[in-house]
Amino acid sequence: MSDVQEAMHPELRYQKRPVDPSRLDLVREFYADPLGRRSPELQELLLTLRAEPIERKLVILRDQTADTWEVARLDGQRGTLPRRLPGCCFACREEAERTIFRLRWEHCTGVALTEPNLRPGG
Amino acid sequence: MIRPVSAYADRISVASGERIRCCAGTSTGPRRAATAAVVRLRRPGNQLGQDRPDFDVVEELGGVTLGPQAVYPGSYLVSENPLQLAAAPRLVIEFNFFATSPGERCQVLASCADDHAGLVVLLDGEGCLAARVGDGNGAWSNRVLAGYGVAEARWYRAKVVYTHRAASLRLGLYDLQAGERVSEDVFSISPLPSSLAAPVAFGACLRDRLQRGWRCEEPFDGRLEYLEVVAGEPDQGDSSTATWDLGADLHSWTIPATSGVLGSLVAYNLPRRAVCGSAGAARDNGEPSYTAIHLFSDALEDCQWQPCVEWRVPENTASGCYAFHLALDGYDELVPFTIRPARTPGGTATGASVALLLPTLTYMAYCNWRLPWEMPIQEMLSDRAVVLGSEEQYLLRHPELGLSNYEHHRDGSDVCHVSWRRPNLNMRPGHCSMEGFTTDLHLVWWLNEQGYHYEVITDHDLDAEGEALLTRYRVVISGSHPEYSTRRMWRALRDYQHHGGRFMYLGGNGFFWHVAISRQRPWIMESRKWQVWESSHPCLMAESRMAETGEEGGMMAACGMPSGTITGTTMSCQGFDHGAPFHRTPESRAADCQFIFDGVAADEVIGDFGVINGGAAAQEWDCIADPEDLPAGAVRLASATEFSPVTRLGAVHARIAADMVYFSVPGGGAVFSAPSMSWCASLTHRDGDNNVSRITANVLDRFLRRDPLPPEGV
Repeated sequence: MSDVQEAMHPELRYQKRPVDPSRLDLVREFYADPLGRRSPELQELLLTLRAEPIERKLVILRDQTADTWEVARLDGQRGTLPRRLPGCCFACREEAERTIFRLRWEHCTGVALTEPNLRPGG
Repeated sequence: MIRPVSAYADRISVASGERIRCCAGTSTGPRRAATAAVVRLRRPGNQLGQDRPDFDVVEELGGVTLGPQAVYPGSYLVSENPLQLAAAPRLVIEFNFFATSPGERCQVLASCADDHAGLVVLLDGEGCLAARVGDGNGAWSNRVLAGYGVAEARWYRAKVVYTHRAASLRLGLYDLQAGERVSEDVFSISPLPSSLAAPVAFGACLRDRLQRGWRCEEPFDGRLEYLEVVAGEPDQGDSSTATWDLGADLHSWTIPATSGVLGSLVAYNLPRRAVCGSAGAARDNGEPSYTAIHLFSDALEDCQWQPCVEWRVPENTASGCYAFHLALDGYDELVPFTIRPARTPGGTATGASVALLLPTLTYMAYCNWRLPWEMPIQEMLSDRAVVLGSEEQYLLRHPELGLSNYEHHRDGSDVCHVSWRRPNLNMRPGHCSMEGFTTDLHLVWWLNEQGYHYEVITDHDLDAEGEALLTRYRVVISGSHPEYSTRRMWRALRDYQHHGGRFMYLGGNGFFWHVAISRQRPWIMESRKWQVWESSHPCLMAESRMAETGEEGGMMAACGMPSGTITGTTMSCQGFDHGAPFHRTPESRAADCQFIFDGVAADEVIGDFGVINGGAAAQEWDCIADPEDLPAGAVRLASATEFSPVTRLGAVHARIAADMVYFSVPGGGAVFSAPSMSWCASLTHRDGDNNVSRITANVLDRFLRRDPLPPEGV
């Protein structure tokens, strides 16, 4: 890999990193403040989760008129619309961010995030 | 809500007394009524919140009717004169080609045809050389050199011979890299066209004539070289051979003929000139051998939409940021443009002492930017999920609106040309990414609120008029992201400072890429950002020169034009998560710098606020220039360093810091740099009652005074 490719495609490094399903403390940290400043460990986890390829990339559709934030998935093709995920339209950005985090976590670990996991000490 | 309309202004900068037109189209459905007005933009909106852009209506233009308007992307070449073969035609079309995405769909290599008759040479959906012959009554015969699909990125020569008397079509394919014939076959065809009368085109099939060029179909991805058309019967001494020199007049969109009656070839939809051909990067007299042209099926130069409204700018209209306002079905579309000062050589009629230099080249480079969702690094640097506002959702649905300077073409090539004659959905007063034009409107609001008498000029104006445009003003202020520059712009800013001009650089990542504006078609910008091309193939690296000027493209600094010379700073880093505030340095407390911080305490935190990521240093920022580029006497006044660790992914310089810099220039000139893309967006915090605003006003007020600036005697 050339230096340029290395610099422009950090996801290629992060896509290979495993996600430790036991680190529920990091899940709780993210859930507490999805847009806040992170601990270094959570930052590294987020870089890994966000390295997903465009063929299945999760995004948020913002509707200013309806004031909604809806989670959708891209397919990597120019000219096709994102597929809206059922039951994932929210009144605030933070909830959409949590949903994307959860879906990526479950994809990377194969382990579902349930409500008890998200409580302090859960 | 998906926007029901998209639009563009046919000019980006217009003066009093001149005309500007708005071209708008709905994406689907029947024609619909809308109302149009010209407005003066006051303050940006924010799609992420509920804020709407603020504007004053200048003139109601009344009702308009909007309907769907088509877009025809795909680059092609077309002869100025049509071929005219009246009876028993014989036609030979021969050329080299290098297909970059064969087998994906039908791609026309060459054609001499209208809707009913003619000859079309193409690669079929399997990537095989093929031809179509139309008989004049709408019937087409298709013949394929089956079983010999061309390889991607390999040079071949195609020769196609159509003979009416023999009712035959000969297709020949030769592998230039192997030096051998791949296949050649003769097909009988019937029925036949009794005549051929159409322009010769390369790279697409022509359908209908447009105001400029043609509606084309089945565009080709790849390179062409050594084009030749022989019409008539050479055996009977009645033939004409047309050839063209793809290596001549590289700045031009017209490729000169070296022989024949077809005239020049005119290029449309942004093919790339100054590219290597089948001989690779071979050099002739030390110069790269540019014998080919690269065509792109998804390139778009000019939508050519019918204008829905035209406005003549009344005499003495104040310079500023304006927009066409279209109201349709409860949706407001704002299509920005600028009104520049009068074209009065040698002076300004209004007496304004301040010019706001809007970075219109950067607006063009980011036109319809898809990188935030097409490359993961953008979300990684943002530390937030990608949010698609109404503009982005529209772009997802409409790829035909063309690419920004940051994407790759369908065939994987970097985008080197962009045009403003298409909707620029990033250049909107409330764009959700909150950068570029949106941020610059914060500065516009601030200048208005503070009561400064200023005029708006653009990169395009500066490139056209040079330093003479700047010397009308005592102070020139940059926009928030003047990333792209021509050589003439950089020199004008340098010379302006040396002739007593005072420059306030209030942006980040400034003067980073060297680009050129097409003289023939000034709505086109060219770049060759070879330092970030992902392939370092010698052939590609030989194409680092811009066709327009013959100069090296890429980074300004590598072209002998470091940003440090004119700003005292150089690109440091990018990060789109959390902003950082500035802290003053001990050097800022010197008497010479006191005017900058009047009313700001020595230990005061500067800019720990702002609508962009909560800090006056955010998005992209510069550090103090390296010693070899730093003007004498430059002082680092303050620095912002408290960025999150994720910014290391976006570092360009070893020093990850935003450094505020001041220096004076012998002869009365001076420069103040607050080098961050978010500085201007912090000006509006608490309606301008903040220390970013105070520092900016301190500097501007002092720069406007005629007396010498400290240090004394400079």
